Amino acid sequence: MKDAPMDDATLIKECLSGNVRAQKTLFEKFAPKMMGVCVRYCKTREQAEDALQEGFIKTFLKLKDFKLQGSFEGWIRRIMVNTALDLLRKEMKISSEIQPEEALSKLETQDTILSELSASELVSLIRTMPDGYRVVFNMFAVEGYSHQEIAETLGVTESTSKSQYLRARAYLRERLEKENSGK
Amino acid sequence: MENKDEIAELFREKLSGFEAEVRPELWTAVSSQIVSGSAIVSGGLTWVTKSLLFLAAAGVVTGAVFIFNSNDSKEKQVINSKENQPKEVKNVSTPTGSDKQDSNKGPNTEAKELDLVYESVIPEKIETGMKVEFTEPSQIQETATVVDPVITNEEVPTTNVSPEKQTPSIPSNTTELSGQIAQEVQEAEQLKQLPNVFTPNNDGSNDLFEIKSEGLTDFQLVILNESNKVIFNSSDASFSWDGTLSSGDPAPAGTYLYYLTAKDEKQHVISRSSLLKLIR
Repeated sequence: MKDAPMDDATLIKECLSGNVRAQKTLFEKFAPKMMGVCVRYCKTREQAEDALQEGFIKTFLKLKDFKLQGSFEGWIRRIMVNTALDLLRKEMKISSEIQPEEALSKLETQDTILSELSASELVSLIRTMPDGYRVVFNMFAVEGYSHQEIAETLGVTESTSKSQYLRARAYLRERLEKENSGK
Repeated sequence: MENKDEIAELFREKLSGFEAEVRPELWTAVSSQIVSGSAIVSGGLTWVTKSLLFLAAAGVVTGAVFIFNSNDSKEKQVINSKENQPKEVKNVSTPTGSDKQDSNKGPNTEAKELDLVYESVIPEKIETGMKVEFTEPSQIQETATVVDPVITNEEVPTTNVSPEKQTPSIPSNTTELSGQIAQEVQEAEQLKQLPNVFTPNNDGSNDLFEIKSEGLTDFQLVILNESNKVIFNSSDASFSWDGTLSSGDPAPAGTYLYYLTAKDEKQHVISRSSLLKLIR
């Protein structure tokens, strides 16, 4: 029993019945990945830890509402993203100016450079972005939200979400060019 | 336009499984929260309300204790009014702080009579309620000149003062944390000053480690020893720790680290840490 890996459904059931060890197992199973999510959204490590903690508390409190047919990891991930966004929201300013065409320049040339970077290098790159870019970029590129969902979640228009994403990419390109020319 | 999504794909592919290090304390904080939160599952709002009420009640009781202890002495106004102004940390004393002590007395002597009368009506609560044993008033005055139970520095907004008192054995992330705290200060008006020294030697002075706060919810506190083991945790903002380990043994003198999170009335998340020097 002790170390038998439980599938998510069993784990959830055990957690709901108040099994503390199952709760810890669940935390340990998902925390590193979720910390990876929080780190991408938050500015400081401390803020990411806050988001992780709060996110897990919400996860446990809402566990009974989880419908077993969906992906549990995806469900937790959404909670984490939303929690991180709540923390960020008050400081985050998303500029709604739209200049999409300008931002549409070719990032393709940098693809090779990007694909050579490690995950943690990509994360540090993301973390240098201004709040609005970072959040939209994370949501769209990594989590795979649609611009419509992003717009609803953040309370902005869809075109703002799109332009933020494009700007984020333009920003990435600039950073990469700068770093490359520095070498 | 769609061809641009190669970037998105690249990031998604590389980062959707990205993991970051999770400090073990975080589980402690989460777990104590869900233990107390098990009430939420059945009780919804009630729990929050209760804790608010409890905090409010705790505030009154703390106030009352001071009156009670000082029934016979003329210092009662001093003590009481200090309690009524949570920002004025008791035993304000800096190495050069004796003049500060005096200046505190000035305004404090104008204690509110009303409060005195009201609070002294309920002394029974003190005994049965939470154990807010604090120091005898006379000793408070003494300690101010003797021990330095709280090293406060009102000019500095951060809570981690006294770098010269830190021992290197506390994990390196302490400095990192205090840097981050500085960034967060503008958010929280509460908990600007956290105790960083306490002396659980039953001398009646600064024998309990407590944190003053008002209206905090979702309170979480974890105390770690020098090897980063959790030796005490609480989800009650009006906790007090007498320096005893869960084994019943007294915690050895040394430097500890505590970490607390809570939400203030505006639901802002407050997250603090400080070293805690335990002197016996």
